[in-house]
Amino acid sequence: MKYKSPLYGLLLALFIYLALAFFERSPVPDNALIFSLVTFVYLVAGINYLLYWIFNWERGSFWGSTIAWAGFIANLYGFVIRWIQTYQTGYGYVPLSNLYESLVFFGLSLAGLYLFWEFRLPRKVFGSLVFILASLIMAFASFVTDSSIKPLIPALKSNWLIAHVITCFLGYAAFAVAFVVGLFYLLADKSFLKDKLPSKIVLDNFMYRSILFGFFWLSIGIITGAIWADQAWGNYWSWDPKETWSLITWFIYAGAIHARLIRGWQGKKIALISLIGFIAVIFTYFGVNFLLSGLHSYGGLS
Amino acid sequence: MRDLLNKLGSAKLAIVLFFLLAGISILGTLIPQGQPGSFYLGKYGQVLGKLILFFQINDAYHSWWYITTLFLFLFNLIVCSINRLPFTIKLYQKDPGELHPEKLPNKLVEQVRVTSEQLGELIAKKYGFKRIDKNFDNGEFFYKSVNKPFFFSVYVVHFSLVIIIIGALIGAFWGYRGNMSILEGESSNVVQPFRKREPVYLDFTVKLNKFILETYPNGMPKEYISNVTIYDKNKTFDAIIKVNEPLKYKDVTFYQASYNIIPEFTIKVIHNKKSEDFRISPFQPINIEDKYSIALQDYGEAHGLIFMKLWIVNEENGESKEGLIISGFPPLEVSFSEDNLSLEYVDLAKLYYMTGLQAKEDPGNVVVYLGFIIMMLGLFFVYYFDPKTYWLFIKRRDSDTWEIMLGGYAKRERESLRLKLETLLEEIKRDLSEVK
Repeated sequence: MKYKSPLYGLLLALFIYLALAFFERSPVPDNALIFSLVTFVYLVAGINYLLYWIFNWERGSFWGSTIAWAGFIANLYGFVIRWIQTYQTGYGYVPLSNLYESLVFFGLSLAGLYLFWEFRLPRKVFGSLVFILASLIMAFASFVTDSSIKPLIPALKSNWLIAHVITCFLGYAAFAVAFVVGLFYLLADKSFLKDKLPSKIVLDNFMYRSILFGFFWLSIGIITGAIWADQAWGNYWSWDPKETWSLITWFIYAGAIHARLIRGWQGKKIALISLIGFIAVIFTYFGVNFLLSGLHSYGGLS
Repeated sequence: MRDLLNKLGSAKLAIVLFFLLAGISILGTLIPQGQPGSFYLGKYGQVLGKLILFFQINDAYHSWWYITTLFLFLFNLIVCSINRLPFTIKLYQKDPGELHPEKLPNKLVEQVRVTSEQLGELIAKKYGFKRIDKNFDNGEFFYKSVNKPFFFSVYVVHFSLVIIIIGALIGAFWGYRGNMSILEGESSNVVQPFRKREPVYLDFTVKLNKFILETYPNGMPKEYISNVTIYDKNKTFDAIIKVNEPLKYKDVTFYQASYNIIPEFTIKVIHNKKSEDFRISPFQPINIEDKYSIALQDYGEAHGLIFMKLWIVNEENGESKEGLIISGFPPLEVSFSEDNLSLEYVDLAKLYYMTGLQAKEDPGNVVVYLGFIIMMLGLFFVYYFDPKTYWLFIKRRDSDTWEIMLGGYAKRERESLRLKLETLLEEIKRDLSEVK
């Protein structure tokens, strides 16, 4: 049955929730603990997919998918619980406003997007890298960034911020999927992947659809960001490093889409661009926060 | 000339420009922008520093090479779109019946055993196909077009980019952005633009009634609020300006940008054996017997002591002195050629808030927002409404065998189209097994 994995995943996620609620003696257990657990769940899901891929263990794809669904659902209620907890601390905001919150939301979007697309995939080997990546993102959030709930500075109090973060991360998640598929595409002829991947046409198409989807959301993310900047600072574009890097990312993927449509670029070329594009995404997201300073510096580690 | 125009409008150049723009945009994020020239010479050395200044990498996004590339991109976008438009119109107007059934794109062929006579009508009705009134060796030919108007979606996106750039240019040429600082209780109609020297005088005034700085219990800023009154010729009203909640009046938008706390000190001045207390602030110099004026140049706090840097001028002969007075320290004795002054810190009399508003007038803003909306719509159309045409050709082979041919064309989703056709064929076969 098609929906067996999400269903079992939901049950597993509920079990995790009940166990946490029981141990913490609270219907809203600490959100940071949930997110730490999700890191672990994603890792286990990734390992199951890996076993499926490397040892041809057929049940691995089912278990990988089921555990991944559990992680995704736990990630989702972790988000809701953090939202509730911002109200309990008296600050009350949608938890999308610092590096920690954006990272756990990145994990959520990546897992969710991939799992919904997986329904249409003939083979599920991609889950291995997707969930190892998601686990790394969550681990980075838990170990490196500050998970405490802090009040919002005035500039961040805007509904445009919420729209901006959600749209950007949907885009980033799609580019992350395109990156994983691109990687598999480039390795498709290697012996350890023989007969384990869908046909190259399917891979190529999946990659292209992910890029197109990501480009759609990144564009809307840039636009909502510009509108927010206009409301907060009176200027919709100020060549702040983060803005510029999002534009660089936009140019790279726009180039890929146009090259495919008008010049017929396919396969390897698009796969390579999806790798370069994702490096630009990562740099837009982390590099700018850590290495360059600007308007987005509140996204930093402290 | 024509050759050059063709080159500038070629699709190949478009691809080059995308990656070129991505590449050259990096420069300005690696090298700090808008610093004085000496900064670059000091940090990067004489050779590299001079190169940076020569190529305007210190203001990369306003440099001639960046602007030129952007305009080349804009030009290429327009020419490319115009060049391709007739092609798209042809696609849009293309008659699906022109095709010969043997030459269907992405053709799938299947033989099914059905005895029913009205097979064509049956399938066509269920899947929304239209009949093509042409006879190809006794077969029946059908087609189905979806999302046909969306052949033009990409032009909507391209057009929106042009609109946004036009809006930005209108703003750059006919708009301004600037600062407006107002002390609590005072009014102003002067805006100091960022990139020009000449101030802008508004035809109405803004009075700051009160500046409110709200903080969270842990001391972090919660809200910056300017409570203002606008005085126009025959209109007066109160308004609130907050971060993220600007005030718009008569094409001018006011943003809460910054604030300052301005102190007013009391100092004791002894002149001609006469001792008197005066109030002094950075905006309010003091005048002593029309002979000396004292201005507060700088002030601050260090090690728990307050210091003030004063500038004293003898208005009669222009002689001036500078001096520092510090709270709790003996008075500062200033000796001029004619007489002496003694200055002593008394107390901090009062603190004033000064709001820093940013004022903006941008006639291009509406155009830019319009461009944003068009772009979002266009991208939505491109992503979710891909034009497709499906063909269906059926022909009777013998009394109980039919041949079904399916074909399809998709503008964008070419690869997934095949999967779609395969599923469609499976569905049709399943339906037919029930018909039997």
